[in-house]
Amino acid sequence: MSAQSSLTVSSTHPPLTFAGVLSGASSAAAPRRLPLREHQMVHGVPLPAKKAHRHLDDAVAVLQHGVVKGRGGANFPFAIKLESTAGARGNPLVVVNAAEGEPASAKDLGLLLLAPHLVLDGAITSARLLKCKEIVVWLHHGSPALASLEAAIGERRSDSDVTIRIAQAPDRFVSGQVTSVVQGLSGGTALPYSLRFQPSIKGVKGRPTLVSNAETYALVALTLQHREAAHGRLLTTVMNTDGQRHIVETVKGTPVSSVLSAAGVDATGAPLLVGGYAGSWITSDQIQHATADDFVLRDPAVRLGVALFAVADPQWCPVVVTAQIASWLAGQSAGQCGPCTFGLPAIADALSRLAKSRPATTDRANLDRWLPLVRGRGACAHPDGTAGLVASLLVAYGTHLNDHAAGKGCHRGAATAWPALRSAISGVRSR
Amino acid sequence: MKKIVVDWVACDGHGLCAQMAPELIDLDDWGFPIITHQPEDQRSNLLAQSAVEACPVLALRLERVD
Repeated sequence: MSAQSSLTVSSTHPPLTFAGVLSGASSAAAPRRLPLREHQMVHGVPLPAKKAHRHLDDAVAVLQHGVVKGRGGANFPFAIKLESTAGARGNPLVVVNAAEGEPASAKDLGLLLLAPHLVLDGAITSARLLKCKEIVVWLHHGSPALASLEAAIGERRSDSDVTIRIAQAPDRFVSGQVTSVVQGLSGGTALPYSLRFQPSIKGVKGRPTLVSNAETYALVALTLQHREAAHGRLLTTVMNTDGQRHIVETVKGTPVSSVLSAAGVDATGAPLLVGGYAGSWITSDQIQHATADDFVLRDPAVRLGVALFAVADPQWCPVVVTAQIASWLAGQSAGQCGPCTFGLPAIADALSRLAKSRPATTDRANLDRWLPLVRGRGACAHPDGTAGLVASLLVAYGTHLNDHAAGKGCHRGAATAWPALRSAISGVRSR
Repeated sequence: MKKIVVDWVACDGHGLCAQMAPELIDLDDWGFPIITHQPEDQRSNLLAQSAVEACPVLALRLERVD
C-alpha cells in the first residue's frame, strides 16, 4: 500500500451530488471543496428554521417517494427513522455517521472533502423538521475529512438555530455500527450493545436520536431540493488492484461495467468484491449482469452494501485473498459477543489453512457448519458480514476452494496490495 | 407467547441455560447458546423460565411476542 494516495472523482451521469465540483472545473484542475456560496448557487438553501416542523409530513412524503434509504450499508428507509424520531418523547438529537468503518470504502470521505455542505443541508433540514437544536457529526479519529468539515461548519454561521459539533470515533471497523455511535456519544465506550430500543426512540443519553450515514443526509438534501432529478443518486467507491480509490457518482440501475469504466478501471478477467470487505465476491463473468442497485445481482443475491466495487488481480487466488480479509475482519471483533470473538477467528483460521492447501480434515466441513452459526448471534452485524464474505467465496469460487481442500496446488498467490488498507488518502485529484 | 432472547454482550458462555432447557437450547462449538426451539406451550415456557433464571450473568430474557 502506498503511504499516501489521492482519490479521483467522476460520474456516469451528469453530476448532481458533485455538481459544481465536477462540472465547473476544467479536467486538469484538482476537484476542491465547494464553498457555501457556490454550493447554494447549485443546491439552493435548506428549509428555513421558522415553523419548519410543520413541513414534516410533506418532507416524509417526498423522501418516501424518492426512496431515500440508508447508505451506510443497511438500506433502511430514512423517512421511517425520521417519523419515528419525531414521534418519540424527549429532546431530539441528529447524528451524522461519517465513521466509514469499511477500510476500502471512501465515498463518505470523498463527499465530505468535496461537498460537505450537502451533508450539512440534509442534517440541518432534518434537525429543523424535528425541532432539534443540535447536530453531531461522528467521524473516525484521524479522518482526512476533518479540516474540510470544520471549514464547512465555520461557513454555516447563519444557521445559528442549530449547533453542529464533531465527535471523533476510535478508528476501528465496528465504530460505525449504530449502537457504537449511540454508546460513544452517551459517554461510554464506542462499542456495539444489544439493542432494546431503536435509537430513534431511546438513543444518545436516552434522547430520541436520528442516526444516519453521511451520504444519506446528502441524499435527503438532494431529494428535498431537486425532487425527481435526485432519485436513485448513489456514490460508489471503485478500488483497483493497487488499492487506489475512485469515487464514482452514479444512478441506481447503472451497469457496474459503466461504473468501472467511469473510474477508468479495467476489470477484465478479474474477481470483483462487491459491497465492502464484509461484502460478496462475484466472478468476472457475472460483472456484465451486475447493476449498481440495491441488489447488484439477484441470483445469487448480492447486496450493494456500502457500494464498494473492488477489482482483484486475476493473479491473486480468491481463497487466499478471502482468508486475508477474513483474518483482518476477525481481528476487528470488539470481543464482546462469544460467537464473534471465537467463531470469526475459527472461520478465518480454517480458511487460512485451506488457502495454503494444508487444511485439517474438518476445516472444509466446519466452514459449512460455522457460517450459518455465527449469523445473527451478536450485538451488531459484524459476524454476519464476515460470514457473508466467506459464504460468497463458497458460491463464487466453491470449486476452487474444494481443490484447496483436496490439497491440490494453486498457482495463484496472495493479494499484493489491498487488505486492511485504511484511508491513507491525502486529497482529491482529477482523473 | 414469549421468546428467549440472548444479550450477546452479557453472555459469557457459562452454558447453564442449555443444561436447564436442553430441548430449547443447544451450545455451539465455543459454548455459547443456540436457541433451537422457542417455547410453544406451558411446559416449555417453564423450561425457558428456568434457563433465564439459571444464567449467572442475566444474559437471557423472555420477551413477549405478539
